[in-house]
Amino acid sequence: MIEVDSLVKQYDELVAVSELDLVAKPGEVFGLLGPNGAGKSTTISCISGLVAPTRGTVRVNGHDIQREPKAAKTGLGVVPQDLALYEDLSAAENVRFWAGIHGLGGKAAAERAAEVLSAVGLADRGSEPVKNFSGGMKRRLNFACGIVHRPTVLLLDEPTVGVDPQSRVHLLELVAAQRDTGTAVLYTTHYMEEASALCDRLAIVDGGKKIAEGDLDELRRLVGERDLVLLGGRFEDERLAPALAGLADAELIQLSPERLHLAVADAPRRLAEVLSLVSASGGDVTETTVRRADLESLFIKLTGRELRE
Amino acid sequence: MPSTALFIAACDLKYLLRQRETLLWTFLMPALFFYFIGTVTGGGAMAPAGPSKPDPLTLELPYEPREDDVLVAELARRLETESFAVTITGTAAESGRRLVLPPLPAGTASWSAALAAGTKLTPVYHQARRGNSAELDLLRVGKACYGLLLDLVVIELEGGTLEAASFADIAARPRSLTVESESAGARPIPPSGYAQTIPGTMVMFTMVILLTGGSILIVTERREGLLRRLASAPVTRGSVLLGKWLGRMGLAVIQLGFSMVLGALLFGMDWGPQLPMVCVLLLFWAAFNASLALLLANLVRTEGQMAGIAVISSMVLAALGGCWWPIEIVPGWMQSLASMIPTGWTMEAMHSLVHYGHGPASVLPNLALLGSGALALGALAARTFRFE
Ligand SMILES: Nc1ncnc2c1ncn2[C@@H]1O[C@H](COP(=O)(O)OP(=O)(O)O)[C@@H](O)[C@H]1O
Ligand SMILES: [Mg+2]
Repeated sequence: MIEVDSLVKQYDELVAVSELDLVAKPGEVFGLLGPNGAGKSTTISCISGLVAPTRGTVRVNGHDIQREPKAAKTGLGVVPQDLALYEDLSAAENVRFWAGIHGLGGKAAAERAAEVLSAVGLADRGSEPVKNFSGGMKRRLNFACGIVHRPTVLLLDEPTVGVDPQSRVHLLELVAAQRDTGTAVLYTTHYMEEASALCDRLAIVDGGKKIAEGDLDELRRLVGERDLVLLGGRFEDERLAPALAGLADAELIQLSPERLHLAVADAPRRLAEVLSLVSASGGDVTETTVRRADLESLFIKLTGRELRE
Repeated sequence: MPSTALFIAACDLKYLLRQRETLLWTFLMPALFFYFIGTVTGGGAMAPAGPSKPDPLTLELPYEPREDDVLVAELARRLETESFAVTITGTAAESGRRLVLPPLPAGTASWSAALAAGTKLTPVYHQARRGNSAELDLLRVGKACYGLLLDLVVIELEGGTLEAASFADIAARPRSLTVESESAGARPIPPSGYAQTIPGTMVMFTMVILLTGGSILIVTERREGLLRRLASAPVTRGSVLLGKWLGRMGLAVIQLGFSMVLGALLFGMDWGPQLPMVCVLLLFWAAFNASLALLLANLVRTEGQMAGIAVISSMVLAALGGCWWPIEIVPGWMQSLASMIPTGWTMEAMHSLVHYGHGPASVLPNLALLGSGALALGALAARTFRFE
């Protein structure tokens, strides 16, 4: 169980995390979806006790991470965004090291290491030095090191960045398996597909702030039944805005000299109607994208920007 | 807590002992340094124990040696008392120590006869070598000559004749004046050869190994996010620090222990009766370096910086502290400098215990300096330690 209350983390002037609340319950994957710089890693650092919050509290399994760090960290597993592996050691030695740090020794450590290595598909590569591994293999080993001590709370910071598609699928399955054993998982990502495939509940964050929260259905409802129509070109504010107000079952999201974003119900079929209205009002369209209602469109709707900008 | 610290120490030690650089500097380089530098600077682990063999000396006469030459026989006897191995010859020697008697006046057969007839004798001493031991030789030759002169004066005053019996007579008499002398202590002979090189190399390499391998591992762990990951585990900062410190202590103990055994077995190094105190001293030295290694690893950003600092500081401190040559041979101001740096404290104490054979109490000030240095640096390292 993770409970984050009004968490604020400030670096001088820069507010990396602002008034963040979240709860991740046992047996659930809580997603933190946001672009680079949204404050995801900072949040993870505060939860794992690496960074002291400026304000607010974090409790892990009921223990305040600042006041009772040892009790809080005992059940905590962290898979950091940047690989943290001993390149000169073998995969098995890496896993056994983290087992030992958590008090698992001797035969128990060796058995558990073999178990997690086989779970991440590295059983037959256990004795090889990590420096020979591919990016995907290192990511899987990074994951193995984070779960070797059977944590009840697991923090995963963009664990699939830069991996091959197969390793990605494998990793997502591993996370789901952790959840199914009752672990509370906090999963950060900037991949909308991962968030919607994996997370039971999620929060969308941007600029350190939570801008939406709920399960997938709740978030989809926030976008409404409407699709997104993203137009590029040249647009004039004065003439377009009144014209678009007359468009049925539609909403203006963003209008700038180069961009026009609209939420339109049943957009694929009504695209011709939208385009002719825009050109009749002096708009010059050079680019057209229609996006079905999803988390990405929600993010665009909420921030006016794309997730992966 | 201690179990986590011990686990971290064991892992670090195992990791370090698998690095090629550590193996090179811990096991191979000491052997090479002992052999090459030790041999070039004189070999032999122990200092020479005074003049054991008589030094050869040629007594050159301007004539072939004769049986009845009382004066020459007495001079030779006195030179032998001064522990010269005297060869009497009538031909000119080429080199070495030579005491030359001048040509005889016409009509005499030997210097005994010439002296009895009133000719003045001025022997001349030749020696090719210079330096301390040559001066000592001259002193010994002079002593033999002046002793002979005194006897001659006594014989002359008493109206005796120049014959063996007269010398024996004087030698047998009770002395009206005797001078008693007692030793004011042995003149210290600075260590040389293996006696200097083995302790010097050991002390230098502890610093080299701990500041390179020992510190660089921490810098790498920080850069790779391994320390960051450690910070999210249920281990205290204290046990991480203690573990890192103990791991480096372990490496130093292995390095120093191996060098001591190697020195004793292969190079005849005798660690002497103060061996337990020598071990205590080296443990203090190891502790000092373990603390320094932790501290420096917190102050640098990259492995390259660390390697640079390690090499420069260990070489400079080794040279100034007397690891490369005995500190006795450098100018006074450099000796004072050595007494202010940790390599100097350690080398002075090593020589005091092993070479000069002083008791354990003689090195207590050095231990106090090293110990408080280790504590102070350790405290600073603990304050500056960062996980990322
Ligand atoms: N140690 C730090 N010092 C100063 N600024 C930081 C530090 N760590 C992160 N930041 C800033 O905080 C913001 C959030 O960063 P981060 O949590 O890494 O975002 P994310 O993981 O979502 O990409 C960024 O603007 C980043 O530059
Ligand atoms: Mg991040």
